[in-house]
Amino acid sequence: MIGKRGWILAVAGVVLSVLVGMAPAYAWWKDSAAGTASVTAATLAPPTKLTCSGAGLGSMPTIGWTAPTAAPAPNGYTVSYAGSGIVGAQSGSVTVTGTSWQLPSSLAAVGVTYKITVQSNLYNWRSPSLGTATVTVALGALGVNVTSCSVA
Amino acid sequence: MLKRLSLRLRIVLGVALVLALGAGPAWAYWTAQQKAPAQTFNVGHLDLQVNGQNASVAVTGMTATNMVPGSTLAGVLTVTNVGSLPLSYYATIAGSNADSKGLASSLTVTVSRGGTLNGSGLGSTCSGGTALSGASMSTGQLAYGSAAASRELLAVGASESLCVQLTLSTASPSSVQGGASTITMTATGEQVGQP
Repeated sequence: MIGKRGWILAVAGVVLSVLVGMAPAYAWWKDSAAGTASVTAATLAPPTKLTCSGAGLGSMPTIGWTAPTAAPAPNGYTVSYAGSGIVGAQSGSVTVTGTSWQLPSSLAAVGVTYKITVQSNLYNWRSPSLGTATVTVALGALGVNVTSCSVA
Repeated sequence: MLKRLSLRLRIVLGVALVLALGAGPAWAYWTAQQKAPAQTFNVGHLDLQVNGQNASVAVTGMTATNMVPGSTLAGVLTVTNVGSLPLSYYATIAGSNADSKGLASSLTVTVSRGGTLNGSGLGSTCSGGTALSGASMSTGQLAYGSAAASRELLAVGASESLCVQLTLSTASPSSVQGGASTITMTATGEQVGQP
């Protein structure tokens, strides 16, 4: 039978043993200083002077453009085309390193109109596009396709 | 007669008692003084500087605009122990974006101890020295680890130069174009022996 006094002594003993067993609290010294750098990324400019040439009977037109004059210089261009029409319309994009691209004959489906845009590339970077070329494929005389092209 | 004497005796005794109680006690205190020689206690201090400054300082030449994928930017952090105690230190790196474009996370970092800085501003690079592994914008480690065993010891008065090179990754997404970031490289010195 443990009396009231015994309980108090027991509790005090437990508390004391916990306190003794605790890790000591050290105050260590620490100091720091810093250096900073400031960085800003460039913006890739789009190609300019979009042109369209070579449209006509039995030929697919060539889209041309001029490299941007503002830095940074692109390392390629993405030509995107979106076709609309009842049959045979295609959409897609190609990457070219030069400053012109001729529509392949595989896109020559009668009744299809293509909206074509060009962006500058620099690795994964893409510029906005500037202007749109519109190419229309129609059926010409003697069953030969005829293309027309405009730039806006 | 006996009564008269008794009365007188009581009066004398009473007067004597009053006098005895009224008198202050006679204490004998012994004192001695010896002046100790003056003592001077010097408390050590821990003080680490980066490029001669205790707070944050813009690293010379580490400002660049118009970074493009593959661009580099380098500068030297000179970490000096100007305190009176040896310390061990480590360095961290963190990017803060001024916009939502996340430019900082597209930067890669390399560090060389004692490396040579080539050029200034955009296109500057580090060469030579001892390459320190583990530098990463994503983990935040610049040089050495924060664990006691990984930190670099720096004696009182000693300094160490870290050539830090940032590169905008060629894999950076298009969305970082026009982004702006501040990169903070922090050296932290701790008391030697600290766990």
